[in-house]
Amino acid sequence: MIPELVEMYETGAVTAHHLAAQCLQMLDPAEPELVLAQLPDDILAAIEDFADGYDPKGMKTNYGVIPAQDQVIAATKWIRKKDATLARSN
Amino acid sequence: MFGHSPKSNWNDNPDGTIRSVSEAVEIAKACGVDIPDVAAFFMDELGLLDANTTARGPKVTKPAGGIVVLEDLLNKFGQVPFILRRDILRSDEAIVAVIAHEMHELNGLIPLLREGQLTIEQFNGHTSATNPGNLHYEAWDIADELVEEMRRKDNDS
Repeated sequence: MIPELVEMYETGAVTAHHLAAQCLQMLDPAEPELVLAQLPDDILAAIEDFADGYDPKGMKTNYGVIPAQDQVIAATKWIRKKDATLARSN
Repeated sequence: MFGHSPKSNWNDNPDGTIRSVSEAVEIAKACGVDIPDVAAFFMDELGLLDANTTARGPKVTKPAGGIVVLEDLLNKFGQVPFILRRDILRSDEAIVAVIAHEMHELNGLIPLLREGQLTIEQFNGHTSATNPGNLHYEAWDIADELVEEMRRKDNDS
């Protein structure tokens, strides 16, 4: 499912913000890599933007599920760890 | 029933023609639908839309009270993408009604989004199916009128 959603993003059928929110709400906080490792860097950046604006006291959306706080935290930690690993290897 | 919806039952094309997305856009334009350049249309290839949802624009998620701007709706090409449910393309009436509906909402929202003061709650209020008199309600009324006009023209020809 994730590759198909990424394909929708690449063709323009969904926005980066939309895909970021959708991937976050599909993510298992215990195993975030199952979703996140399949995403291009621009979507990971959109997830970080989403996390920066995330307010655990109340989020609103025009439709669909809102990602839970533990999903947002798990994604942020995974992305930062990945970035740190890449920085060390360069 | 979940809120306001179209009154017309859309007829499939009598000859069984299934339109492409680009044909659908041209049909809607020919029937007078005002489609801004920023709008783009895609088929729901993955079957994401349920039986109650004929089309869908971008998902927007914000903190309570957060401001929604046009950039929040743009895809990587600077377009506002709309996904059309596959079966809509079997009916020119459905095509015109659904695209007219989505474009009435978008054309109403664009100036508000550009002002930069539209909260997520107000944004949702304009497109909610349970807020009488809003853009969503107006949009189905306009869609119904366009379908009736199509039928009048068919009967006259």
